[in-house]
Amino acid sequence: MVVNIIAGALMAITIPQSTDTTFAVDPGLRLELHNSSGYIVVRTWERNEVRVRADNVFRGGFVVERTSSALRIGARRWDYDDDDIDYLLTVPAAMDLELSSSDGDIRVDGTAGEVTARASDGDVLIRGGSGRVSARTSDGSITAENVAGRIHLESSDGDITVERATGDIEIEATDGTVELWEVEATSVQVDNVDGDIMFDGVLAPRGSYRLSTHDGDISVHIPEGTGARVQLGIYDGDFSSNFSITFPQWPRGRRVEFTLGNGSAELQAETFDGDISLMRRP
Amino acid sequence: MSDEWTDKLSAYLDGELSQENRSGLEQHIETCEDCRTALRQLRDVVDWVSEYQGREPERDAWPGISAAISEMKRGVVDLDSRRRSRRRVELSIPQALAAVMALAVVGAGSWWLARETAPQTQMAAVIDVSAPQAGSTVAATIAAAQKYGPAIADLEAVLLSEEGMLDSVTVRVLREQLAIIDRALMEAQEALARDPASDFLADHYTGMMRKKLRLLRGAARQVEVSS
Repeated sequence: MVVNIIAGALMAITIPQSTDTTFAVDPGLRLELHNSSGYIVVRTWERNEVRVRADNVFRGGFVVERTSSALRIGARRWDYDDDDIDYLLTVPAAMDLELSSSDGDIRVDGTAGEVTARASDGDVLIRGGSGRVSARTSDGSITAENVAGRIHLESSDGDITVERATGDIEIEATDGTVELWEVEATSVQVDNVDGDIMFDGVLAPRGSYRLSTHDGDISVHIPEGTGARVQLGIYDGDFSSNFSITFPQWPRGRRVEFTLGNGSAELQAETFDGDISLMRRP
Repeated sequence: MSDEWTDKLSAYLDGELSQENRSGLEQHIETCEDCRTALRQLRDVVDWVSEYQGREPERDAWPGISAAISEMKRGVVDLDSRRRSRRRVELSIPQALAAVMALAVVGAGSWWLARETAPQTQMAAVIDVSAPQAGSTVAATIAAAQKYGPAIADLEAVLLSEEGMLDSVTVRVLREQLAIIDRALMEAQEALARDPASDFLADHYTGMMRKKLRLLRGAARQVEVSS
């Protein structure tokens, strides 16, 4: 059965243990789901409907509220703040998503809309997404695949992996490895403190790529024939490359600049304690 | 709300955004109520922290800080007496650099970790150093330490008193992050003391200071919202 909720309506669902409900939604409506504890899994389909399956709804149940712009789902926090609800949602592929969980993983699969995912203690996985794609976790890993647009990823304690991304990418990490695979972004900025950075992708003409870590190696894999002005900085580490670049002796604590090809893009890589390698992609 | 812009609000308040980013942010704020609210909250945090009285410290933290700095064996003058007298002391550029950075790092680094074994401390640290006579890198580094150090110390004092407002995971992660960043700051400081003419090291040190300030402001904002 598909339930229609009119704008401004508030529906409390208090079926114990588990529930499975489907709502008709207008195109353009945003989904907001804020969970105290438990995982959130979002899948997509080509219907203008939202299906909500929730498990472990033992006490307070959850609430569905529709405003003029959003469908909001959350536990009845005024009753039981400690419910551990697991959500499995199926939403229209183009629906924008704003998801948060204080304690639990968030997984979004196949979306074409904008995604904001925040977990205090849990992993975040986003497959798809366009426009603005943002993920943040305090304690957990972040994986983003096939994303496009303005991408912002931030993890305090955990690895961050991006695969097949286009657009602008900003990554902030403190303790973990950052890996970017098959990236075709126009700008990339990675700030890390304690962890390696690996970049595998294409440098766009006039693109900007800045990779920085305090304690970790940086490896950059780009196609032969890439045009870029390259600036590297190492305090305690070595530089290696299979491009035709030679230095008589690496100047410790100094930046080194050189140009590849036509020098169209800008690539900056800096590590305080680690090695930098600049390699041709196979 | 857009993380893309909210993460630039701190730098916006500090006047550190490029003209392009500044214009973009201001344009965005006009249409985004969430970001306007976040900016207002961040301003409130800055005001709140600057006016924060807090609890009376259970002991004067300064002797410990001064001793820690002295242990660095950088020829730093007696900061304890400097603090009391607020006299102007002429330091050489390396001394001034070491003193300011040591203050920022030790003041910043010790509080949260040290509280595991020591009574609560509260510190507000401003050091008055002579203007450097030469060396743009040294001057820039001192300026960065002076700019961020007091704000960091203030934020730490607030968080020290109010950390009970944060959940245990947040506190644990925050402590771990601070330990990592403080270690990075200390290493950068030691490298700069050996090579004060390095632009790369100066920029690296300043970047870490900014990162720490952003981290603390975010935590303070959580505290303020919770309270």
